[in-house]
Amino acid sequence: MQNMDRQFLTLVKHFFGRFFDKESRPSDSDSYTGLIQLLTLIVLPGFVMSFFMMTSPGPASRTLRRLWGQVGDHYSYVCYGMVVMGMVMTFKWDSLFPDRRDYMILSSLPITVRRLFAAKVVALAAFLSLFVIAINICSMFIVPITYPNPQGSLGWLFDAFLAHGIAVIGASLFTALFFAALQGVLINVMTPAGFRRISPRIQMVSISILVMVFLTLPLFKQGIRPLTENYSDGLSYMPFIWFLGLYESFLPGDTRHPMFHVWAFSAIKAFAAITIICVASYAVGYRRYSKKLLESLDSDAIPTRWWQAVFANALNRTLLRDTYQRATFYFIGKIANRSNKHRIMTALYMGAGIALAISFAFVFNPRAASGFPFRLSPLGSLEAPVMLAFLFITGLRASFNIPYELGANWIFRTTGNGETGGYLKAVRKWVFVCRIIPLYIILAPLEFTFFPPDIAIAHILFDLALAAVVIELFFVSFNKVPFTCSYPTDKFRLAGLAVGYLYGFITYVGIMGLLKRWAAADPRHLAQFLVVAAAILAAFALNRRRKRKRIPLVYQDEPNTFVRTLDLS
Amino acid sequence: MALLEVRGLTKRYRGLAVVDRVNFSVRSGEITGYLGPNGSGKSTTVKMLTGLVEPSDGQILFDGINVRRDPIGFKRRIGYVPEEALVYPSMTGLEYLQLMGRLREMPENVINEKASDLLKLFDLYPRKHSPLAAYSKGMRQRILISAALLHDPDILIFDEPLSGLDVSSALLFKHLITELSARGKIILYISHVLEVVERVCAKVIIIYKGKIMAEDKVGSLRDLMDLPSLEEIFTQLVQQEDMEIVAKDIVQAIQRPANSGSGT
Repeated sequence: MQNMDRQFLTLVKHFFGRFFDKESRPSDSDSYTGLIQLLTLIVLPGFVMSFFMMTSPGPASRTLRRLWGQVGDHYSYVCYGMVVMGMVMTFKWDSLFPDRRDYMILSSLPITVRRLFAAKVVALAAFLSLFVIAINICSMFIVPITYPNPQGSLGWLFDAFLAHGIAVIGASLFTALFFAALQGVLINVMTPAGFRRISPRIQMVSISILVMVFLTLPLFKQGIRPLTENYSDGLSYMPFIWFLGLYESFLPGDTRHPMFHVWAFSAIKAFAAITIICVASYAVGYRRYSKKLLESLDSDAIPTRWWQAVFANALNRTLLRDTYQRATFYFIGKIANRSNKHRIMTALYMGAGIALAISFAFVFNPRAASGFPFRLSPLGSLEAPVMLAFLFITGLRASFNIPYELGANWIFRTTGNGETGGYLKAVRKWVFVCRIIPLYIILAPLEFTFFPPDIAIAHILFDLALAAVVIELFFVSFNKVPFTCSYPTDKFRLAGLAVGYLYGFITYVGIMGLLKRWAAADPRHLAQFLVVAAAILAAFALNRRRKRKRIPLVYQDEPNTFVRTLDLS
Repeated sequence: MALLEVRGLTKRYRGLAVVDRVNFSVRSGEITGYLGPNGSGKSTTVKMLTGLVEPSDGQILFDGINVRRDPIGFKRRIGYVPEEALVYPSMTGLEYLQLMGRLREMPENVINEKASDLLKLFDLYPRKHSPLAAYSKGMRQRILISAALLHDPDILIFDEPLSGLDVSSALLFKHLITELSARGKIILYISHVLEVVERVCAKVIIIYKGKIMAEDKVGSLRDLMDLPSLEEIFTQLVQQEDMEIVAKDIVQAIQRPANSGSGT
C-alpha cells in the first residue's frame, strides 16, 4: 500500500512537472525557474491593478458615479481572472488529459488506467489551484481595504474580502472548468482524429476571444452602467457579468442594481452545471480516450479538397510559375496551418487586432437613445481595417522568425539555384493572397453596411494597396524561408523594437486613417494614391532585382552586434 | 520453465482484423524472433502483449494463467523497448530511469544503484544530467534498453532494439540478449534485420497480413523450405512482388521526362 502511494505520488509529481515542460519555458531554465517566472508574470498585474486602486483619489464628486466606477473596477478583476485562467487552459489544452506520450511510456508499466487518470486529475487540480491563487492573491488582500468601510468594523472588512474572493476565485475556477468540460464533452462525442483536428481551431478561437475581451475591457467597462440600467438582454449571456453580479451581491451594503442578483444566480447555476458536466465527461471519457488515443493513430489523413486543388491549380498557372515560389508558398501554408505554436501566435495577434479594431471603431456614447452606449467613430472606422492589416503583417513576420523543426531545414539548404528571389517573392505573395485578401473579404460586408458602395470600394482598394506597400516595407530585409531559421535571442533589441513599434503603430494608424478619408472623398485622390503606391512597389522591385544575387538566404540569425554580454556570471 | 503463450489473439480496427487469431509460445531461455513486413501486425501484437492495446479476442497466458486475471502483476514482469523511441525530452537520462524505477515501485537506493550501473555500462554516465532532447537516437535507444532492464524482468520484449545503435552498441546488445536468455529470460525480438535475427534467435515466427505464416527453429525452416537463408525464407513467405522488377520501375519513374504537371 505504501509502495502504491509512492507510485501515485511519483505519477502526480511527474504529471505536474509536465505542465511546465520545455514548451512553456525558455530552453536554458529548469522547470521550477520557469514556473516562478510565469507565476510572477501573472501575480504582477493583479498587484499593480490593486495598488492603483489603493492610491486612487478619495471620494468622487458624486457618490453614485463613484459606486459605478467601483463596479467597473470589480469587473476588471473578474475579467482578468477569467482571461488569464482561460489563457492557461488554452495553452495547456493538450495537457488536460494524459497525452499519447504518457500512454505509450506509462501503459506498459504496472499502473492501472484508473490510477494513471486519477494522478493526472490531482496534478491538474494542483496546477490550476496554483494559478487561481497566483492570479487573485494580491487583489484579494488589497482591494477590500480600499472600500469605504462605514462602521470601520472588521466584520465589514471580512465580508468585503469574502465578496471579492468568491467572485474572482469563482470566475477563475469557472473558466478552468469550462475548458476542461469542453474538452471532456468533445472527447466523448468526437472521434479521436476529429478531436485532434478540431483542437487547434478551438485553441485559436479561444485565444483570440480572450485577448479581445481583455483588450476591450476599458471600453466595455464604460458601458456597464448604461447597459445595466437599460436592462440589456445581451449582458445576461456574458459569464463575466454573471460573476460581476456575484461580486456585487455579496458585497456588504446596498446592491447597486437588482440585475446583479439575477446575474449572481446565473453564476451559481452555471458553476454547478459546468462542474457536473466536467466531472461526468471526464469520468465517462477517460477510458475511451486512452483506448482510442492508442488505437487511432493511423487515421489522421489530411485529404486535399476539390476546391483547394482548383485554387492551387489557378495559383500555379498565374502567380506561382516558378518552382521555388511554389515550394515556399505551399510550405508556408502547411506549417502556418498545422504548427501549434505558430497558430497560437497568430491567434494572439488576431485577438489583439480585433480588440484594437473594436476599440478604434467604437466610442462610448452615454447619451445614446437606443440603449446601446457606443457609436461608430467616423475616423476610427477608417483606421480599424488599416490597423488590422498592419497587425496581421507584423504578426506574420514575427511568427515566420520562429523555427519549426529547425533540423529539417537541410532540404532548403541543399537545394536552390543560388538566387533568393523565388523564395522571398513567395513569402510576400503568401502574406497577401492567404492573409490580406481573406481579411478584406471578411471585412467587405461591414464596409458595404456602413458606407455607400462607391466609398466602400474606394476604402477596400486603398486598404489593399496600402497592405501591399506595408508587406514590401516589412519584408525588405527578410532574407529567410519562413520557419527555417534559428530564433534570435537578443531580447534587449526586441524590447527596444517593441517600444518603437508601439509608437510607430499609433502614428501610422492615425496618419493612414486621415489619408484614407482624403482618398475616399474623391476618385481622383484615390487614383493619385494608387499611382504613388504602384511607384513605391516598383521601386522596391527594382531594388530587389539589383540585389538578388548578393543576398543569400539566412538559416542562422546572427546575435545582436551592438549589445554583447560579458558572460561574467 | 516459464512460458508465454498467445492463443487466438485478434485485434480488429473498424471490423478489419490486423492481427488474426495468432497463436505462438515463447519459452524461458529462448530468444524468439517475430518477423514480418511493415503493417503485418507485429507492433499491434506487441502492444497487446504489453497492455497498450486491448485485444478484440484471444488470450495471453503466462505460466498457463490468463494475464487478464492480474494485468498489473503481469506488467511487473515485463521489460519493453518500444519501436518508437518515445521519451520525455525535458528529463535527463538519470531522471528518466528514476521515474521508471519509482513507477515500478522499486526502493530508492536500488533504483539509484542500478541506474548508475546501467548508465555506466551503456556508456551514458557522462551525459546522465543532459536532457534526453540532447541525446542522439542511439543514446535514447540505450536509455530505453536500460529502462527495460532496470527491474530485472522475466519477459523482455524488444521492438526494433537496434534502431539507431552504432556498431559497438549493437554488438553489445547482441551479447546482452544471449546472456539474458542464458539466465532464463523470455525474450521476444522484433526486427527487420534478418541477419541478426538469424544469428541470435533460436526460433522465429513470421507474420504476414495479421496471420502467422511460419513458426519454427531457423534451421528447421531452412531444411523444410530447402532455402539457404532466413532472408530467402522470409521473401518466399511474405513477398508478393519481385523486388528486382519494382526497383527497375522506380528507376524508370524517376527518369520520366518532366511535363507541365503541377501540384501542391
